[in-house]
Amino acid sequence: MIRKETHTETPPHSKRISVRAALRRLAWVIVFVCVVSLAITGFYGMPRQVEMHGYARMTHVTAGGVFAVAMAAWTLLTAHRHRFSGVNWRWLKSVCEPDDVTRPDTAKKCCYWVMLVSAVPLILSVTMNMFSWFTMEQQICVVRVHVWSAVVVSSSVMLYVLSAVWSRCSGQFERSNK
Amino acid sequence: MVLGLTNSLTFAQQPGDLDDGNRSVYVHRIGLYVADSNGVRGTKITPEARTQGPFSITQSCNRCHDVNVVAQGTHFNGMTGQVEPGQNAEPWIYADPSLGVQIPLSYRARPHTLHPDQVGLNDQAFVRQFAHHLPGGGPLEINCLICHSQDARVDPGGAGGYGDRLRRGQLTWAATASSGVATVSGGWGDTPPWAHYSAAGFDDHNDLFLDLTKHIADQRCEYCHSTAWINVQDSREFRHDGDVHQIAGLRCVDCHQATLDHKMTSGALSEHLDANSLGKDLLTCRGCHLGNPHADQPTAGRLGAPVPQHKGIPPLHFEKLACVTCHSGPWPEHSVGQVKTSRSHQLGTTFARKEHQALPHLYYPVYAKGENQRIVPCKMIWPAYWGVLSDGQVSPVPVAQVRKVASQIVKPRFLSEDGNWPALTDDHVIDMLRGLETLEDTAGVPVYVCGGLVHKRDDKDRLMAMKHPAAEPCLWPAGHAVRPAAQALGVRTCRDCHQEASAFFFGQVPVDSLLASDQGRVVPMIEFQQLDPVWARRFGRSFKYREWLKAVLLGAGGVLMVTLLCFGCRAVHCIIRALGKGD
Repeated sequence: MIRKETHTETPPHSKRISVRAALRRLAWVIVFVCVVSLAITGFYGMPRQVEMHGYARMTHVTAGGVFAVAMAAWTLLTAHRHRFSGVNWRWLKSVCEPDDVTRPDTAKKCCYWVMLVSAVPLILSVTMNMFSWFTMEQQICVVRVHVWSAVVVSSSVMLYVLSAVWSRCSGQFERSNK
Repeated sequence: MVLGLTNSLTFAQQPGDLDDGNRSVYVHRIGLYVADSNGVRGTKITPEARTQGPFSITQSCNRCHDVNVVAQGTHFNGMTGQVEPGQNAEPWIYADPSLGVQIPLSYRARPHTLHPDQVGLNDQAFVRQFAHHLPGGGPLEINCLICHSQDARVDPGGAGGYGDRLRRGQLTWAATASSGVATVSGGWGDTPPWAHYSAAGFDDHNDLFLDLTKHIADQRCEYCHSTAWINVQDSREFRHDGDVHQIAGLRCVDCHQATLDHKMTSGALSEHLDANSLGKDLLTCRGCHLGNPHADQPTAGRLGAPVPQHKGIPPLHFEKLACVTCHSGPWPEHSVGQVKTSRSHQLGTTFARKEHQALPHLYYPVYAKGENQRIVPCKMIWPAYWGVLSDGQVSPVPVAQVRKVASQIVKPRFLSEDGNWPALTDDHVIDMLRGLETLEDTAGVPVYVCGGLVHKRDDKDRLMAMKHPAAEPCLWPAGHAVRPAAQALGVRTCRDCHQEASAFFFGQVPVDSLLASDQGRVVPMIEFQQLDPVWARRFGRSFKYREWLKAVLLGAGGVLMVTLLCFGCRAVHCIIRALGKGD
C-alpha cells in the first residue's frame, strides 16, 4: 500500500523505517480498517432498508471516531507527498498519450484528494447531527449527505489502494525493463 | 358491506342521526317511555303519578336515534361476543383479597386476559361486578345520559346512583336513578323500587327537557378513565397539571371521536397508518402535529397543534418509539410507581378503594414493546388466580369454587384492612391447592398463578414455581397525561434515557405477589422491550464519552478543512501562475 521509498526519499541501502514513516503506515492501516468496518456496518442494511442498530451501530460510531483521528493524522503526514507536481500536470496535458509510469501516481493522488474532500462532509455531517441544531427533516438531509459522502470516501479508498498497487506494479515493471 | 349498507339505510330512517351541519346544540325536549314486558315502547311517563316505573333509554331515544347501532359501539359491544380485539386497552380487573386473586378480564381476546366466562362470571354477574363503570352492553341497556347529559345531577357513582343500583341487580332502574330527572326510592331488601318524577321539568305535553350534547365534557370521560398516581413523592394535585391538551382547551372527544356507530378512535398509530380509517388518521398525534405530508393540502397544525421540530433527536427514535413514550405519563423512575384507575378501584364511587395498597396493584409507566414494534408506556398488572394445569395449559378455576375452598383456609384475620394481599404463607397456598384438588370437576393439577410464575405442589408437598405464559403480566398502552414538550424525555440531553443504569431501560418493575418468596423481586423494564440488556448498558455507557466524541470529530474535521484550505490555496496559486505563463 505504501510504496517502497527506494528512489525518492529513503536511500536504497537503508533498511530502517523512520518514525514518521511508521506513523504514516500505522495511520493508513487504521484508516483502511476503519473504512472497511464503517462500510460494512453502514451499508449492510441499506439494500433491505434496515436501519443500523444494536452492536452494528455501536461499532460504527466507535470506528467513526477512530477513523476521524486517524484520517486527520494521516492527512497531516501525507498531504505534502500527495500534492500534484509538474509530472502530474504534464500527464494531464497529454492524456491522449498515456504514460504508464505517471498515470498510476496521478490516479492515486486524485483518489487521495477526493477522499480528503469527501471526508470533511462525512465527519462534520454526523458531528453536527449530534447537536440540537437540526429538525427531523434537516437531520434526514444531513444523514443523506453522510451516506453519499461515505459512498465517495469508500470508493476513493478502494481506488486509492488499487492505484497504489498499480503504481507499485508499474514501478517493478519499469525497474525490470531497465 | 351488507352490514354497512343496512346501517346506512337504518341511519337514514332516523331523523336525529342525520347531521344537518348546524354547530349549535339541539334542544332535546322529549317524552320518556317505559318499556313493557316485551321490551317494546310502553306508556309515556307523566309527572302526576306518585309511583312509577323506570323509563327506558332505548324506548325514549330510539324515536330519533337508532339505539341498536349505538349499542354496537366500543363502550357497549364487548358482551356481543363478535367483536374484534382492536387496540389493546385497559381490561376489567376482578380483584378479591380474600381469594388472593387479581384477574384481568376482557371479552375481546386481548393478550394475557381471561374471558369472564372462564372465571365463572356470566353476563349478569359481570354487570353486577363491574356496574360501577359500565355504561351498558349485554343484558344492560345502554345509558346515553351517563355521557351525553350535561345535567350536574347525573349520578354515576353516588349512593343510590347508577353503579349502586346495578350492584343490587336493579338493571332497569339504574339509568332512571342516576338521571337526575327522577327520584328512585326503595329497592333495598324486599322493598321494590319506585320512581317519582318531578313535575318541574315537564311541559304541558309531558315532554321533558334533557340537557344533552354531543360535545361531551371531559368529566364524563374521566369518571371511567381517571388514573390516580400513588407512591409518588408529591401527590398534591397542583403538582400534576393533567394533560397538556386539556389545559390548552381541548376536550377528550376532540380526538376520541366517533360517528353514530360509537366506535371510538383510540388515537393509536395503527389508525394513522390505516389507509381505510376514513379520516381517523387525522385524529392521532401525527394527524394534528405533523399532518399528512402526501396530502394535497397542508394538514398539520389541526386544533392549534404546534408542529414539532424535534431538533437533535435522531430520526431512528420516531421508528422505535411512539409519540407518547417521550411525551406522556410520569417521568420514568428507577422503581416503577403504582397507580389506581377508575375502573379497577371504583374511583369516583361511594365504594372507591382509597387505600394505596388496595388490590389490584397496577404499575405505571412500564416502557414495553407494543403495537408496530414500538416502545410505548404501559400500565401493567401481574395476574394472580387459581387454576388447573392440564396438557400444559392453565385454566382458571371459577371464583365461586375458589371461594368455597378459601372460606375454609383464608381466615378473616389474614385479611389486610387496606385491601392488600392477605397474609398467607406457602403452607396456606399448599392447603388451597390441596383443597382445589377435592373439587369435583378439577381435571388436572391445581396451580396458583402469581408473580409471573405458576406454582404447584411438588412430590414433597412443597410449593414449586415454574415459568408459564399464563403467568405473564398483562400490559396495555397508556397515552395520557401528555406532558408539554419542555418536559419530554430527551429534552435535556440524550442521557435522559441513554445512560448505564437509565430508568427508561433498567427501571425496576416490582413483581407483585402474595407469596413471601416473591417479595422484593423485581424485573428490569428492558425485559418488556425485547432488547439486549448488555447492549443497552454498553450503549448507555458510551454516552459518557459523547462530548469527547464530538470534540474529536470536530477537531479532526477542522484539521482536514485547514489542510484542504492550505493545499487548495496553493493549487489555485499554481494554476494561476501556470495560466499566467502562457501569456
